[in-house]
Amino acid sequence: MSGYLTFERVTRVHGQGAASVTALRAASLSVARGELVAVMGPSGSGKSTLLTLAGGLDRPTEGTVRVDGVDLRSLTRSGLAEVRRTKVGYVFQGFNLIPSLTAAENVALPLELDGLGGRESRRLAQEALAEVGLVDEAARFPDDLSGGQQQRVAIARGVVGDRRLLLADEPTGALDSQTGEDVMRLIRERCDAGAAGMVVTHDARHAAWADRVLFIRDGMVVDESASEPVDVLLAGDAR
Amino acid sequence: MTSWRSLRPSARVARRELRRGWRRSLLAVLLIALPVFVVATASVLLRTLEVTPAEAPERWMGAADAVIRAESGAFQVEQGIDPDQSASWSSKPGLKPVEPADLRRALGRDVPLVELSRGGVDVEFTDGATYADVLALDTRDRLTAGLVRVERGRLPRAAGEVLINAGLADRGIGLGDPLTVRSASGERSMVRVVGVGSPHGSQASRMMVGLPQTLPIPSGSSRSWLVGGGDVTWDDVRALNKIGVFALSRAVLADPGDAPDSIPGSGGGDNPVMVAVVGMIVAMVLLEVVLLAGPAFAVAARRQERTTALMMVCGATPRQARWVVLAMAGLLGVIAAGLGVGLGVAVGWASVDFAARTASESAGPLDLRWLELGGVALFALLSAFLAAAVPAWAASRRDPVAVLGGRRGEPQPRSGRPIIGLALLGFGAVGAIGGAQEPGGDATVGISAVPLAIGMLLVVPALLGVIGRAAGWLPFPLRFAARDALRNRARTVPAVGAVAITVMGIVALGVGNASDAAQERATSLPVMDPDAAVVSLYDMGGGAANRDDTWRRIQEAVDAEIGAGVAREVTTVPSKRRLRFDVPVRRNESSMLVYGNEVVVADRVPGSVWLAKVADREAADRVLASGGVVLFSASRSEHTEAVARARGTVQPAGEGQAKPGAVTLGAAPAYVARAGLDAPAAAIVSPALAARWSLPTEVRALEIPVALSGEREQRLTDRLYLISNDVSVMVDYSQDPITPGMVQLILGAGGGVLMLAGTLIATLLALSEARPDLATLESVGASPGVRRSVAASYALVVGGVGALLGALIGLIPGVAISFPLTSTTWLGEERPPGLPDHFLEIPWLLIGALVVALPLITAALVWATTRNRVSLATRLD
Ligand SMILES: Nc1ncnc2c1ncn2[C@@H]1O[C@H](COP(=O)(O)OP(=O)(O)OP(=O)(O)O)[C@@H](O)[C@H]1O
Ligand SMILES: [Mg+2]
Repeated sequence: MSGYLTFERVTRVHGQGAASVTALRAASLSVARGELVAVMGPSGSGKSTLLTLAGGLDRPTEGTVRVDGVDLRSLTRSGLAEVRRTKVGYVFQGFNLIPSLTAAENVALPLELDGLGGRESRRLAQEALAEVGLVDEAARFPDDLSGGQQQRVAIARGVVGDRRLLLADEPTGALDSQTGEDVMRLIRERCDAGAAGMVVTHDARHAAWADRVLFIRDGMVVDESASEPVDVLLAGDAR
Repeated sequence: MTSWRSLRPSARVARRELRRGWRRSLLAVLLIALPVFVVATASVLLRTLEVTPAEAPERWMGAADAVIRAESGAFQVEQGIDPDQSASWSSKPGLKPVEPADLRRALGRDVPLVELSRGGVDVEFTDGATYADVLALDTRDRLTAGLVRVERGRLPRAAGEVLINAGLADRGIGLGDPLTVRSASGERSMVRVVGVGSPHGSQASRMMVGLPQTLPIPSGSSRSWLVGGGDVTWDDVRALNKIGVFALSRAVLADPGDAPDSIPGSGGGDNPVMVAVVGMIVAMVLLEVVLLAGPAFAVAARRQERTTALMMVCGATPRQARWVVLAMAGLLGVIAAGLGVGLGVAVGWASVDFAARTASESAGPLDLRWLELGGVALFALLSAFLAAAVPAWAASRRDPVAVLGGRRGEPQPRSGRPIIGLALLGFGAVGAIGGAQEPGGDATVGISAVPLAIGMLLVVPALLGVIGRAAGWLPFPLRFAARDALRNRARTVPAVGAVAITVMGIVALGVGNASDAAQERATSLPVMDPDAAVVSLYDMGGGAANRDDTWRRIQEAVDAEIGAGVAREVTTVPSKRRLRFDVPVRRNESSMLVYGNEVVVADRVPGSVWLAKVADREAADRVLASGGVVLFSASRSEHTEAVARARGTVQPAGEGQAKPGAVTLGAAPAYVARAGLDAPAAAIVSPALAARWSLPTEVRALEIPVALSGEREQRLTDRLYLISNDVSVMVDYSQDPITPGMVQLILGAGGGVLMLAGTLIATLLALSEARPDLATLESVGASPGVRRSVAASYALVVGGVGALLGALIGLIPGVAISFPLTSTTWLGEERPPGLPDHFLEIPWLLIGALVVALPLITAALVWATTRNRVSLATRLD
């Protein structure tokens, strides 16, 4: 099965000369639709770098990143923006929402940026919000939503319309464990509904929602396995 | 290319954010709206006060269908709709003057005509007399209805009745009062006042309206008529033009058809120099507004950086990200334009009556020039967009991941373009120097200020770089501020630029003004003591007996008004006697002044003569006491104690034969006093010298050594005019209440406010950004006062660097413009020897205040108002 997101020997080096840092080394991986991949690793190991490269927010120093078969390297800044609004959804640890837009407007944002009409965008946004169980909160502003609700709005935005790649960088980091579980369940549901998902997490219990766990250390994908028990991976982290 | 629809989210975010931060938005709105408001108010007021024939034809032609004017000798007349606005003609003296019959023939029909004649009379009332302008017309004719505004009483209906204006009514003349009028030919007649009012648009201070038989006026070179009897078409106008007559027709005004507004090659066009100057001022104001409002948008953009970053993560293109800031600018610009124009129209409309009264004019209907108002509104929009351009660009270039990760993610600013800047500076300087050398080069110098200003802005980043790198030896707060200013050039440059532009303008204007004042001081010194009046009688050629009698009555009238024994007689040598002195002094041939071209005979300098210094007067009095002569010169003369010779065509003492031609009279000790180009007198000769040289003398003036109120002066003038119309009362008003010192003060104050605004905006912006750094500083143990000192240092760096740069560059056009401005070469022959050919004075006090005092004051202000503590918990925005 060809992946919706593929990395082929992707390297990302920050800075130059003696001060350079290799954030990611020759990483190859693939995530298919319907699949949820968890990314784990120590701090500074390159997890966020992996996600920003996947989302076209950064460019690899070497190697190829493809989303839905499109080589991101070939795209201009505007081309990358188009990929982000039509294919990729991003969820960060917090502050995902624009405070001056309502929940529905936040969800509809990528569609409207793509030039879709107001009414159609709103309809699709309502649908996406319904899927995350937030119909009643559609007209509220982010400041009036709880942290968990905000993350759910961000997830709805991540998969609104035809967007099929959901990238989440520690989406549960700022939430209590129960709410975190709810958010992970939601991401799982979205993937079961056909999205390709990649979630950075530090929590083994959250990683358990994934089909596979990618383990990164010093910018290298150390292991890509679903068979190994999660606690073994964690032991590796503690070593 | 994204469609406009895809910009909707950007616009929505902009709108909502503006509402959230309305206080900040207000600042930018006010900055932009203020100049718009001023210009809009001026436009409404000026346009409304200017009543055009189209707005109120009755003011020009009453109830007539046209008003026409025949200029004697005019032919080949071409005119636009309004001949006063645009007309051309040739003239040939000796052409037969146009008569009413010619007009009727040209029009091809018999039309009623009412002639309007203008002239003047002397008006005598109970205790005085004065000159008044006269409009003679048959006010009984219905064609004249509406031409004259009646405030009280009624229009004249019969011979012997007149209407007077407020200026005459102020003399205590009331309705029903009898008056004597004396026509130019000397005939006297009695008239009776039946009304007070004035013809529309009349600027005359004293005016009288009556029937032609009441106020006969010799027909001059120009005759006017009101024309009735139906529409005067454009064809009629052209027919009248053919016989050398200009016409303003009601029908053509109402429906111009193919009548041209203006005709080529005639007046009415705008003066290109004025257009250039106005254009330059508009450009400078635009620049200033942009530079002041720019930092405000930079703050707004900075506060939106998270939002724009999130939008970019959601797939916003750089263009869409930019539009968040640009849409804010658009909205603020529209609000500022609406506010400025709206308030301008409202205030202009509300103050029309007041302005009309102050200008003693009646205003027309509210006249809104939408093109002009649209222009200033566009100016607001343009300045908002220009101010937002750089912050918007920066916002779209920021790395969203870095911003969301709490790093700055700013693209490193380039170090500016010092080469282009220096080139522009050089170009501007060359232009200024060129302009300085051509006569009338003021416009060239003014225009060269534009490349100078832009060049100056372009070298600001490099200058900040030099200062930042050289800041190592400075105390910490200053070093921190200088380095921070360098690191954040994007926002420091506009602020420093705004201050520099302001100071540049003020220094240039200040040098020009001070130099002008220096020339003014040297060339147009007062001639009369401001606290004195001089009554003098012109040579009227009448018999001596008559003259003596007139003079006696004048003295009596003056004594009656001022009190006996106060006024002193001034003796002069009759102007038939021409004296020349060999000391090179300026001889004032065309002086309007009392003794300006006369030789005064006195044993001491008359009190009414203005002298620069008390020492001057003492020295002059000494020379006169010792039998010498006092002369006046515009230049400093070394002949302070020199010997003077006089020549004249006089009858030498002891010889029977009068000798025409030059005769050397002899030598005398002299004192040369400083004076302007207009001297108080040709010379003052001591009585002893006058006797020795056998100079004839006569008493021709009375000096009154007290300051007269305007009211007393008018009463005295009227009284004396009753005695003779060859008498005049002089009071020197040339000592302008607006002194150069005051101009400098106004410049300094205006500039101070702008500088303060620019510096404060930049400082507050820098502080809000430096907050995390300062918090860190405090957490590592910096003294709590550090925040204050850094804030003050920031103000000092922005204000000081801006002011210094602005002052340096401002000197270039300032010094350059002093050359054409104060050139004395145009005086040619008349130029007094020793007078410098141009004046240059640098107002060091003003420059010092701007460069040293103001930045210090601003810094002190910032120091005093900055809160010292900043909690580490304070949120970043
Ligand atoms: N813009 C940048 N400039 C320089 N170095 C960077 C930059 N971004 C990331 N790095 C470096 O790259 C490495 C990987 O960073 P990354 O943010 O991907 O780590 P991470 O695994 O997400 O860590 P954490 O779990 O703490 O979020 C780190 O050493 C980091 O310092
Ligand atoms: Mg990370």
